Amino acid sequence: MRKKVIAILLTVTMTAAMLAGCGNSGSSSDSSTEPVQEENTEEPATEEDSATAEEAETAESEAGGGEIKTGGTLRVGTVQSPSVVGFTPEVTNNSFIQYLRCAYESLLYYDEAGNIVGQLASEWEADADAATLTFKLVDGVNFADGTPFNAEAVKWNIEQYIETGRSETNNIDSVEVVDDSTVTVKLKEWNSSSLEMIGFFIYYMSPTTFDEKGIEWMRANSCGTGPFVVSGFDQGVSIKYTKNENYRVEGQPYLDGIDYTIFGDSTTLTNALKAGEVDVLTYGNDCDIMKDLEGITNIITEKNSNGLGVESVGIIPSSAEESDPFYDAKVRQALCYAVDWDQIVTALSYGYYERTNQWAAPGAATYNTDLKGYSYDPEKAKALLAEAGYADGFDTVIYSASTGFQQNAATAISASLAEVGINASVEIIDGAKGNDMMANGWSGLYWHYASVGPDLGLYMGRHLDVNGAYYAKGIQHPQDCLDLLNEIRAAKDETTKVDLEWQLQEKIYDEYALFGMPLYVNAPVHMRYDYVEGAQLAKVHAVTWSPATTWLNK
Amino acid sequence: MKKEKEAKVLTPAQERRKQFLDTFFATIPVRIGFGIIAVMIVCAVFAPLVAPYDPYTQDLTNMLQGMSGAHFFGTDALGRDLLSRIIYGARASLSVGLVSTLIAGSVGIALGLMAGYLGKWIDAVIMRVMDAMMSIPVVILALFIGSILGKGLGNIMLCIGIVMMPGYARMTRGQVLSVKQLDYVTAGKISGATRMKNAVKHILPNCIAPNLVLATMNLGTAILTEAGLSYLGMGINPPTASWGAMVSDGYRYLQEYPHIAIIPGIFIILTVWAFNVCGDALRDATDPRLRGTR
Amino acid sequence: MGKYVFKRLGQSLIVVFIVTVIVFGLMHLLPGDPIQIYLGDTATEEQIAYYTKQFGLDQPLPVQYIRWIGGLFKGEMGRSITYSIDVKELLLRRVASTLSVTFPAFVLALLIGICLGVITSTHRGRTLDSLLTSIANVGIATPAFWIGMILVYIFGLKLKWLPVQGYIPFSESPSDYIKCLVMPVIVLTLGHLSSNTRQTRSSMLEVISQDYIRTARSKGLSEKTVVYKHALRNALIPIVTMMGGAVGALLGGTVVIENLFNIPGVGALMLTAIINKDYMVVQNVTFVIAVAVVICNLLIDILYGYIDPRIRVE
Repeated sequence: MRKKVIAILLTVTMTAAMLAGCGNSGSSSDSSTEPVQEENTEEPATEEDSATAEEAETAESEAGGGEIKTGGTLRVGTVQSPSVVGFTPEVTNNSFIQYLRCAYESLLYYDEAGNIVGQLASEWEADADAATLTFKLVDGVNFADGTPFNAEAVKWNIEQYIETGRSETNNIDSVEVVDDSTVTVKLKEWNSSSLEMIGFFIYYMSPTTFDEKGIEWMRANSCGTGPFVVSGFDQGVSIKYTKNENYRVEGQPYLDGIDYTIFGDSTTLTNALKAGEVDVLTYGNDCDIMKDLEGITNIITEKNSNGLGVESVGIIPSSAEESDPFYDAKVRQALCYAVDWDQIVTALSYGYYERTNQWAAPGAATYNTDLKGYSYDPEKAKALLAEAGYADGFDTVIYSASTGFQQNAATAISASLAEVGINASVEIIDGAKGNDMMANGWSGLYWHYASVGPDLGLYMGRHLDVNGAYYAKGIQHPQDCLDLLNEIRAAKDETTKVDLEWQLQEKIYDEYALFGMPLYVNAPVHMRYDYVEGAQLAKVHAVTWSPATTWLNK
Repeated sequence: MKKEKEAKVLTPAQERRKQFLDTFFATIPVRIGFGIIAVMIVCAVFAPLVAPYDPYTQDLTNMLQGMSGAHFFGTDALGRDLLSRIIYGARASLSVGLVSTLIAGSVGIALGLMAGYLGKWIDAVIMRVMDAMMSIPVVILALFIGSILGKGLGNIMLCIGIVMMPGYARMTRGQVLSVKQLDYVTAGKISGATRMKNAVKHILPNCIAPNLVLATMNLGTAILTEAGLSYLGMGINPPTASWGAMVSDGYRYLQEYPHIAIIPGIFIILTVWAFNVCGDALRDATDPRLRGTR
Repeated sequence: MGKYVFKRLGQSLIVVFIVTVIVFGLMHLLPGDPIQIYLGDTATEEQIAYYTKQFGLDQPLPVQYIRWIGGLFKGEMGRSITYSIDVKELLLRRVASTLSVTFPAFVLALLIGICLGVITSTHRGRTLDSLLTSIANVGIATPAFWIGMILVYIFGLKLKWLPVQGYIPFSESPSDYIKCLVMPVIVLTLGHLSSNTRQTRSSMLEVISQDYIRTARSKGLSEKTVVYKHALRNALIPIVTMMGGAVGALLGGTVVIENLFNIPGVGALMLTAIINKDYMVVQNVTFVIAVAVVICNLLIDILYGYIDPRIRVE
């Protein structure tokens, strides 16, 4: 569908940003007391202290796929279209991290189990009382232009992020260069999520090249410590990378280059993959794409298993205005009872989407298994509506992007609602309107994209806070929920935090039905041909991959 | 001996009508086309009676079925009966075609009349604005206007109507200019008829025929434009059935369930073809100059 | 003649001016804030304010309009909010791929259309005529995206003869360039070919029935001479006029084609820009397209006026 263009843009800006634009779903352990993270590898390989994620991956790929063949160009197809690839503070969407990871690296990274490991930092320390984060940098790393990656460079980069107004760095008070390879970041106030936000979401550019070539050049090119360098950037069309000959890991990258082609339509993209015109398809988590590629034995779907980067999608009612029927919690609850959500999700997603009923993926630490939830009970829905004074029902709108699933689901939901007297007309909107509604409020039912990493204080906060960045203007903000949220943020240990988070889930969903009904968890999946090895797509975090260790087995 | 039938004598009006109909229905394609249009109109008007199922009823256990006894054209991704959706789609397509043509026609003809009859700077201004509108490609202008007005049946009608307006304005103006010279119009002026009366009584009837031909051809274009807009995602909202949207929705299933995309497309082709063919025939039947050029 | 040219030129300039007003006005009626979309959801108030100022979107509308027009005179077209580069640059990159599709389509549709039109008109009433005319009639009625989808499926996925999408510049690989363009060009050609055929046919028929053709025949000239030398030349006049409209249709029609075949052209750019409410891109690209159409029409009118003196007397 040509509507895909709209849908894609809608999905990109919402999905990706929802994937913790400012932060990420961290590993649940609060790293405030542990100086060095244990690295969790299956292979009997490296020591953790100074090991970087890359080295562990090297060991893994050497142990795994057979004789590595170097050379060749990987062709990737995607609908994610960045407008900037090189000036990292301006790359705000999470779906663009796949590009950043080709030419740049961050201080911290993750392993398969979701633990934090070092990448450009060999050690790190988080001091909750002093509200500081200290990073010790890996030695001997250079940018692609040959200049050293050192503390000064780190400080400069972080300051660029602060200057651009990035939310990841708005809790930073100052950055201090302790010595050439040590940096201390002073926070304005302690926040347990800051380590990961700063560690994972900041990508380091060469200050020297920036000074020399300027910001315009930087936007369309790159100079980082990553395995590749931007060799061509045609906005909205393609991005080409060539090997960084001076990459810090000997022997890597295995590929000569990477060619990204941007698609405006996901069916065309899927066709291109099937025809072998691209080797990898990123962000193929639309159920139609997954279905289309099902059964093709030489195309493998890579999914994230440790929960990092997962988002949920649901239906959220507008509850801010008193005149709105959804202002009343009973009406919101009626909404939840009125539809057979399980059937809709399972049938329309051909079984690909996993159901969830709260702000967490099933199995995550924050998933409250005791949640009552809502069964499919139209009679109860009608009763609740009558109690709220809407015995005759009311009219409303359900907005939707034009992807197949969303549109079909919206239509199906509308039909169910009609049976209890709620007349919801379906209105297809584009990315512009969608963003507008997300930021400034809406009236009726809308799709709710939520980053459901196991940290409600961070992620739910961005919606629940009165000044939240997403959906906040369209919903109520019950004080008891806000209080609970703050308690979560201030929690010093994991057990208390999780306990409070369970309480918040119950309050939000069972009591208030504030965010309506979540439908499914949607982790980005990526597809690749079987001859593409070592790419580690979505392995450590749903939006990442490992360009350095990728090779073509053909 | 057989009683000789008396040769029927027709009045001039009846004679003209007979000739018109004979010319119109001369060839087979036209007859087929007219038949198709008739069927489509019946479907559109009597859709609830003709369609075997409700086009909005979903059956999530019966999705993407092929052609069968129960569902003549199969079902779509939500388990809705395709045949019923096609029939209701006729409603959407024809109403978009008709209403947008009416809008375009009425405003366009009015503007054309003003421009042609009043002349001078009114003519210049109106024509330049029409030229400007015609310089912007139809699809782009339609997307533009569509994104302002929003989606939905009514807005699409308005949008396509606006976009097609210049054609009628130009055509009418041309007609007015040529008719203006004719003696009886001048005679009307001399006899003191007001400008308005003059226009309506003398000029307007002469403009109708060519505009009617234009309208018939444009109906096809309007239907195609709506299909294109729905395809690009700027068209009619679900769950309203629209052929263009159905093709668009069916694209992702093309490999396994081609009928979902192909069948609506065939109906688009048939309907547009029928209107074009009838438009041609109408032109031949009304324009004596062109008789014999078919 | 000179007076005619001057008059038409003046009219064209006025039309261009009106186009700018229409485009600018419409653009600013669209809902949604382009800066918000560009920055994504993580944008802070400061960021939004910063970029809004940078792109001059905080100025009152008349000021924005004047700045735009002023820039046009200097050859500047502002900056794309979505892509962070100058619109002129963006346009230049995309024009090549769009022209790669539209130009061959235009030429093919014209040549084949005229040929078919001549054939059908000279064989009027016979089987060949009926057949070709029917095909032409069906061709006009066929939605481009529908036939495009089917071709992609058959030739791209099933037979694997042609790529399902994409555009490879000629400089990179001439054979791939051609392979990528085959289907888009065919699809785009079909609609225009059909209408050219019909137009040529009816033009020819009208001309052939004229007296001077009868005279030419009675003079003993060969049928070929009659048809090509006399009839066709005169029949071409209305076809030439039609070409002016074809330019607009071709440029507009590429939106669907480029979307389907993933060709990075002007049409795809327009679609993305309209969705993203990228003011500068939409305004300037629409303006450029409209100017192209106006220029073509102007040239055609001048040509027409030169050929047929009656037209010059309005």
